Amino acid sequence: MQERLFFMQLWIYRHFILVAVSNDFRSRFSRSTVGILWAVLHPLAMVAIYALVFSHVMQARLDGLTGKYAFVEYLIAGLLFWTLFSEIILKSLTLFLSHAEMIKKARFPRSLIPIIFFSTQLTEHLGLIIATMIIYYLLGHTFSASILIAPTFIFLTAIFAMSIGIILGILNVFVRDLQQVVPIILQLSFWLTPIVYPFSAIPPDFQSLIHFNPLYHFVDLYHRVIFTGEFPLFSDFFIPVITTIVFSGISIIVFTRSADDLTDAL
Amino acid sequence: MSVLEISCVTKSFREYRSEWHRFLSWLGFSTKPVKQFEVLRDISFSAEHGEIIGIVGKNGAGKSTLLKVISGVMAPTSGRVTSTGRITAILELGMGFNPELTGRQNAVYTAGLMGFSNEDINEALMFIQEFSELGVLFDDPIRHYSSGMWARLAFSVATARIPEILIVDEALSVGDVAFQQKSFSRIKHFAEKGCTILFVSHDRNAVLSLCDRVILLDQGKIAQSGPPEATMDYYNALLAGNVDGIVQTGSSFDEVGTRSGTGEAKITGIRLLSALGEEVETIATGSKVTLEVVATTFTAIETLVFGMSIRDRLGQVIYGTNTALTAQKLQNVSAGSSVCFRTHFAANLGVGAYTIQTALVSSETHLENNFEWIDHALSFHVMNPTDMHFVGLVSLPSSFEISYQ
Repeated sequence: MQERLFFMQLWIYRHFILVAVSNDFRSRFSRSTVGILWAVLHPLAMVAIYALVFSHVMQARLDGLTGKYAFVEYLIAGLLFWTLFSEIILKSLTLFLSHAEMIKKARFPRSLIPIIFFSTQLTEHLGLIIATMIIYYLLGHTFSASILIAPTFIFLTAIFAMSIGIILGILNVFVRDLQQVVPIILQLSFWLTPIVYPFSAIPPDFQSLIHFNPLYHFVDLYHRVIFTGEFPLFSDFFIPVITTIVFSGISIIVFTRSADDLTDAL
Repeated sequence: MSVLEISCVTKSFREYRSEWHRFLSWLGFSTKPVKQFEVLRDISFSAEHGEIIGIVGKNGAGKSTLLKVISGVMAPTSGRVTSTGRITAILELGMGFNPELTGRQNAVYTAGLMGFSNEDINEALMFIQEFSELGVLFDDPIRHYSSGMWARLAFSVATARIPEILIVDEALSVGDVAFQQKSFSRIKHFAEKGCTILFVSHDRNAVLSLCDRVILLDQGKIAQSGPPEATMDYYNALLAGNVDGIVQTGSSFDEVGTRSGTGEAKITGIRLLSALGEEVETIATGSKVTLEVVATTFTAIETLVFGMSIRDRLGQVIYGTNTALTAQKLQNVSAGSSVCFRTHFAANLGVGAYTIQTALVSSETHLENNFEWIDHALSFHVMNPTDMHFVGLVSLPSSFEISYQ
């Protein structure tokens, strides 16, 4: 099928995208008593457990930072990044496989599948953002005006993860091993990125190496803006923006070139 | 000018030495696929404004693939599909329905997926609620629906808007009889409005009553195309000649049939003979025929029983018997004997395709000493050349006695 311009489709199908996203939430919470509230309660519980474990049970402290909850706040900011990043990638792995019937039997612009998925994930992420704010507030954290910048790098993270997700999701249709391999690689990246440990905990010899991990530059923005409350420099955005552009470029090429093979293989 | 033009469409599925070669081919590297399976070969035809074209063929003939290519779900490997006008394709009814959502929500979703604008959807919802006959249940989660209601909703959504070209893959026989008739007239209404319709069906009556033209596909190629009756007769001949593509009829007894058994005795010849003793593939309903089977033994067999049964196209046994039931067991058959079993029967069967299953065993059941069992030993077709038409699988000659009381 000749794919029309991406943004044209987005516009023509705007109502449908909205319907599809809201249907997803509706059906997920349709038979539960508190319904949509789960979208916040669930991440709230998760973050609260981290807060409890690391502040009281483990009594973890950050070097050079006083305050009983400093480590917890640091950890939550990093997890906000990691949850968005890893959830999108893990779920995209089966994105095309789970829509096999639709792809094989309905006539519609294929790009709707990632667009709807992306919108759903971002909406769901709002729940975690709200939960994070609630816990921060309860821990006595004061937000600075820099927090207003947060939506930019949250969105950037989502686009970055989605681009990787689309590539892996397509490859996984042909080589199913990815479904097993990717979670392991994600685990590894999690520990290679300063999320549960501060940058200062890395041995000095390795500190320069960590700069080669693009994820570090993303999570660093989260730490600086959400946790420390500083305003980032433009240069801090440099690596995240470049990696996102590169990966989304590749994902668009793979997505368009694989379209015919994908329908045949599903 | 034709509304739809299909020219030299070929579809093949590619296999690469490794999937990595496939990935490289996307990135512009030239990698040659190792294998290509041709599913459609050089298909060309065009459809005019308001024409209804039926597409028939055996399973695996490429019907569904052709519809997918025409509707744009799949890209052809070579060739072109050009259409003027909006295409609606019903390749599967109720696809993407979510059981947790109401009929209305599902209708909105599906219509949106079909590219309806918001205004179109609002207009369509009125029609859908009315046509599906769901009433207040329209606002209930569809997990409460019966399968018939589900199908009615799906059909109503799919046909809510009259497109220029409608493509239907075996979706016409949904719901109860009353709804089937309603959906039939809906399709006819579409054609009257000038919509071009392409549909796949296995239902001979549906094809004959709806179509202006029929295209018969066989092994990915157009085997025949023309007026419905003539093409359907050709198709029947093709079917009778090779039901399910397993065994050839008549004397060309095929070794690759679905056989099982220990092989002490084997069937080496099978023929269906008319009353005149001629070998036939198509017989008239009610005519007297003889099934002639030659069995050869390879070891000495203490007890040999021959059994046969007639099955319809769905595989249901219509009738079966064996020589144990008729007390004609053969005792102490020496190795290397050739035995001919002739079964005489009247083919009191309805119009359709049938297959014959044979068994060589040592008792009534084939569980004990199953020498040989063939599922599709032979196939034949029953026609009704008389004026007395009837429906069903079995001919039970009947008469009416009518009186006023």
